[in-house]
Amino acid sequence: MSATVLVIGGGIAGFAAAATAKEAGADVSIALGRAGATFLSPGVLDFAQRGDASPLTQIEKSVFSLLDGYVIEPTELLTIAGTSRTADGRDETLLSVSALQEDGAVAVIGRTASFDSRYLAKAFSATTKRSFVALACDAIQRYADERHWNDAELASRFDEEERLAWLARILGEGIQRSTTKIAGVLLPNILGTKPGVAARLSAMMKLPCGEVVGTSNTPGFRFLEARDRALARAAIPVRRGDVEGIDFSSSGRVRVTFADHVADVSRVVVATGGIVGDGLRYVPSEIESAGALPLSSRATFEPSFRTNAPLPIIAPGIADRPSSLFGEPAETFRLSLTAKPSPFLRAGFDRRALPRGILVAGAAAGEGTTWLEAFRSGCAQGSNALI
Amino acid sequence: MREAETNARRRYRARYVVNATGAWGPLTAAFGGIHSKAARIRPGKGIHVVYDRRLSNYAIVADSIDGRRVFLEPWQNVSIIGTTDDDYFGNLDDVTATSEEVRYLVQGIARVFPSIRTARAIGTYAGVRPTIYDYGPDEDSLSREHLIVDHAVDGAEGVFSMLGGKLASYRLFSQEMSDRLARDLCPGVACTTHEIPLPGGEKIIDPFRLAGEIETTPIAARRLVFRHGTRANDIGVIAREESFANTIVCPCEPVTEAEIRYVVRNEGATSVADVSRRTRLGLGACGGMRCTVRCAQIVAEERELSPRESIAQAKEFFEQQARTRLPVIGTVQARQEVLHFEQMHSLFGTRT
Repeated sequence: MSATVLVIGGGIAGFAAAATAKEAGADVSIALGRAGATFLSPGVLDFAQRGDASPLTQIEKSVFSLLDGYVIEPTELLTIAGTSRTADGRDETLLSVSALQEDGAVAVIGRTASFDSRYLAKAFSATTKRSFVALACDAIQRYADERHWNDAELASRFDEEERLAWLARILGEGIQRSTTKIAGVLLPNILGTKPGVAARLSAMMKLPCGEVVGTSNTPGFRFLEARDRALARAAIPVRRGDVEGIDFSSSGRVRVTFADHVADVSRVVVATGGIVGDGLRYVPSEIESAGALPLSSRATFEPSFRTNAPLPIIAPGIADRPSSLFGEPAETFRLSLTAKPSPFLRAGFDRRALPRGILVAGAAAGEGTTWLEAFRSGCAQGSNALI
Repeated sequence: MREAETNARRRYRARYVVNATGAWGPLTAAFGGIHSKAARIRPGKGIHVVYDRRLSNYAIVADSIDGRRVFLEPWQNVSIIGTTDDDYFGNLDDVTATSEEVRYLVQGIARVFPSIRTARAIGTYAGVRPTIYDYGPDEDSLSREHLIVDHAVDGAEGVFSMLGGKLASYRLFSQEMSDRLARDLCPGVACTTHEIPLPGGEKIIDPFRLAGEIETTPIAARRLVFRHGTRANDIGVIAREESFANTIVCPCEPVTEAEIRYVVRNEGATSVADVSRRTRLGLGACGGMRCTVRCAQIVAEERELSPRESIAQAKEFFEQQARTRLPVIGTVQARQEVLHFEQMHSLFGTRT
């Protein structure tokens, strides 16, 4: 009898674990939370620069190939802050400066609440080595009311072929009028809520076209679409709803309870995210704690689901600091844009002390603060599920 | 004097000098060679906790554990609870709320409004009252009166200090000070303060008409009129005439691009923090996630600052605001805070 594996969590780690286990021959299903449950849906978890992008293994390559719209390669991206940053990979829709031809300027196009082509063209020219020009700044809104839409709403329009062709025509005219040689086109986060829109636009324009790194949740929508397509491709069945409990039996089987059904499996991979992904919760919760409302160093963690066996959690930085009464106050924690990631993020299940039958992947294990790390963690735990 | 913006030092000569520097009053007097005891105050720290949206349509008063009156009040688009009153012996230039002050207020309010414990706190602010000096009484029993000190007795003819007072009485206090100066400068002239509307208060503006004119939402227009009165019309001109200036930069409040440009051009705002104080930009539920970077760019554009200065301004404001949230973040908000920082690391490329 082949191993039955249930992966809990539909982020990048959960997807990678499910696909890897499937590839290795397990009978796999995946539990997805409610809409917006994954850390990737706001587009926050990304390919931040770690500079350690060692080549993918054979199995990682094969799992990665299921996902539409991602590339893994060192790259330079442009952000709405008016600067560039490096990354170990990217959502293919984001414009890679490194992939552009040496000569020619980058055309910056579009005007939304957070994206001003004129300003950004000047800023990128000052902060990077390339030159940038702003073209007809209101090219992307076709109708007056679209000026009040957010990027993701606008992006859904460009999923339509006719609308994309309209954009290509407008861009073509703008570029033709420009006296500068154009090497690529940079737009706000509007190039589709599904993967592949930027590639189609680039083909129409015969020029690399792509998005800026912004705060919009458009890249998150693209991830959800890519994941769902990949799960369908790999024929991995999906369970919907939150997990209420995980019970371990002496026979080695694991029972996972959902609101409307129970799954009985031989292995469960927890990829529920850490603190931010809602896989872990601080205790005591705000609601139950009599007077201790603000967070303090005395805060500890518990899984966000019920279990019949202890699942120890390690949280360097917070729980390890002994203190009296309410503990060290939250205001002593350093949240800085220049220092290391905050200790809030670093809690995770302690792999060394888990009962048989359960594995943890990604942020739930305190690893996976970037896309690539989460992916690799997922692949590793997915293959461990068969051992 | 040193100009904060240019760092230039200048000397000014005047017949009269009014020291209206609040809790810094004694320090300012000391700069003029006046003994700080001649302009003595008893600094009293007070904090407010800010909650997302209006939790009640009424102000609610409660007794704190030590019998003081504390309140929950709908204010602007948010709710605030306050306030503490404690003698302050710290650095006046770095006053922040602490989580123990927050616990004290929440405990008091929760007695009559239990759901305050589950409401979403989005920030704090702290200040120091320039209370008139008295040795002995507890903080709450101190007088909230105001006082004008003529430093002629200290050998400084023409120097006055304004001590004590509250926001609620500031106009009266200024009138008394002006009357005192007018007695010497223009004797016999009657005070007209009570007949002159405050700037922007000249007449009532219809926000819905304004919303139509500048093609923005009625909510944005109402907030604009609330903040600026008749000056909202001048902002409307920018919104209509400059390309995309009616775009909403801060969706929480909301604040349009035109308003940011207006306060930089006309009200002396030089940074994101200044714009925020004038417009409430970045003080809503999202903690400046969506508006900080763009606002810094508009400020940079208006003031001809470099892109790097714009980025530095955005980072500074964002970190500063996060600092005001830390004493109040509960276990759920802590998660939100991490999200904020991950997103900002991604934009600035600062992840280590």
